[in-house]
Order: sequence, then C-alpha cells, then structure tokens
Amino acid sequence: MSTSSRQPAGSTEMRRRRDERSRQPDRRQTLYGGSLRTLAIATVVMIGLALGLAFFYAPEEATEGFLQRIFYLHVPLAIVCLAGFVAAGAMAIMHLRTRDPRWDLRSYVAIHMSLIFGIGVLICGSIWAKGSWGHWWVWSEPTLVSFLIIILLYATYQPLRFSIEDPERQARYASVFAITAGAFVPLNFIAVRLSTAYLHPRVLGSSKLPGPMAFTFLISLIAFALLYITLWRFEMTAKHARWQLKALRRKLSGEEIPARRRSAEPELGASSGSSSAPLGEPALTTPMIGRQAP
Amino acid sequence: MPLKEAVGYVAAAYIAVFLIVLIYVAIMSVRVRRVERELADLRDSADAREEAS
Repeated sequence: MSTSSRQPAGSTEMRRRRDERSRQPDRRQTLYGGSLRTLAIATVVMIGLALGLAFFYAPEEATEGFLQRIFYLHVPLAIVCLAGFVAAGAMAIMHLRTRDPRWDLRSYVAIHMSLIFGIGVLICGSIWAKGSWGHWWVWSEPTLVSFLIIILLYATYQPLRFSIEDPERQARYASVFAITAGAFVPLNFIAVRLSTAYLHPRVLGSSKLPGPMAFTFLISLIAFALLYITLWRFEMTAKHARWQLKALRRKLSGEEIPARRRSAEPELGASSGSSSAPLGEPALTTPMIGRQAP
Repeated sequence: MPLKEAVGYVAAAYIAVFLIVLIYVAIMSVRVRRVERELADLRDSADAREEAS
C-alpha cells in the first residue's frame, strides 16, 4: 500500500499541506546542509578558475600546441580517480577494524565516484591519444593499459557485492576487495613508472613543467579533488537520507523489518538488527533533515 | 596539428567529461527530489495521524 493511500485526510489535504509548507521559507526542506552547498560553490568557482587558467593563462606547449590543454583535464582527473580508489581502501580498513557499516558505505561511494572519474579519464585520454598519436588506443603503451586494468578490476566490485546475499558477509568481502585493489593501485603505478618503455609523456616529477603550467595544473588538481569530494558527499547524503526514510516509513507503519531485497548497495542497518537506532545513532523519531552524512 | 583541428579535440574531451559529471548530478538530483517528496508525504501522514488521535 502506498503512503498516500494510507492518508486519512486524503490526497487533496496532503497537497494543500505541501503547498502551504513550500510557501514557508523556514520550513523548506532540503536533504543537504549549508556545508555541502558551500563546498559545491567552492567547487564551481575552482573549476571555473581552472578552466580560465588552462585556456587563457597557461602558455602553449611547443610540440603539441593547443591540444596539450587536455593535460589540465586528463591528468588531474586520473590522479583524483586513483587517489579515490586508495582512499576507498583506507575506508575499507576502517570498516574491518570497527565493523561500522558506515565505513563500508563510504568505501562503496568512493569506489563508485572513482569509477565515474575513471570513465572520464579513459574517454578524454582516448581523444588526446587520437589527436596526438593518431590512434584512439595504443595497446603497447603501459600507462594506458594499466589504467584500463585498474578500471576493469574495480568494475567487478559491484557484481562481487551483488553475488553475496548476506549483507554482513557482503560488506566484509567488499572491504577485503577494496583493500587489496587499493594496494594494487600504487604498486601498479610504480611498476609502470619503472618499466623501460617511456612512451607516455612524463611531465610530472621532472623539471620540464614551467611555472605557469605547473600552477595551472595545481589549480586543476585542487578543482577536481573538490569536485570528487562534493559529489562523494552528495551521494553519501542521498544514500543516508534514503535509508532514514525507509526506517521512518517502517516506524510509522509499524511494520516489521522486511526481507532485504538482494542489492549491491550497503545496508546501513544490516549489522545492528534494529530498525530504530542502528549504528549507534540516536533513535529515529524524526527525519534528520539538513544533517550531513558523515 | 592545425589549431582548428586541435580545438575540436580539446572541446570534445572537456565536453565529454563535464557531460558525464552532469548526467551523474542529474540522476542524483532526481533521486534526492524523490526522497524529499516521500519525506513530505510521510510528514503529512504523521501530522494527520497526530490530529486524528
């Protein structure tokens, strides 16, 4: 039965109340607090600044010319993506240490975000490769192939979660995966760096990058790191709110905890065995509007 | 590479990445709106129950 059909006052009354509420600015409900909005504004400003610097401030590179400006998008995006995978591994360690399902959720969202960034890296990298080398993909290039291997490795994370029905076991196995794969990321990076074939342009860690280019790159890196953090927090807030909504609905209807639908998503109340006050959080009497997901 | 051709590649790369981010944000926004709507319905339901009691 839907919530609206249980409504004794009827749907017209409900609509009237909603209209009334929306007219009251102090009661306007958003699921995100002021800090997420500030973070989002800072991200937009930094991305604008990074784009401005990349196109109007950074000098043109001698060999690649204008095409080299993809560098300010591709490389920071790749660094943030890989750092996100490593961070997800660290969060998974925290999950195994504390058994707190919120760490599993954090790790899950970090991997999800890194995968989205990774797809962006592969697409813009391919476009750069086509412009620079004349091919969309070069299989003999170790950096490209190793990055693809990492993305394919993490692409198995969701199916792995989905294949395990028991939520606690799913969270534990997913954490082990996140730690192992997270450790593989820097090892893979070092291995590629040590390999003899230096086909991929190496501009970082050497004195090749002039001052204005290095500054633009740094701003771009900060901008994409902020974008990652903003989107991570946005998704965390959304997932948290959805879970709280489920718990509140159950509480209002007096229903027992329904059988968990098979899902790859972490179940926040999975290990607590209680729908009212899981995870050591206060008992859920009212929805925590505006409260930030940790 | 001629500037005109290079501009095409650079624009394609930037547009592709920002499009991915935009699609993701749009999907998440729809989900968040749905949660907000459901939350409002539940609040109304709780208010109505309170009034009835």
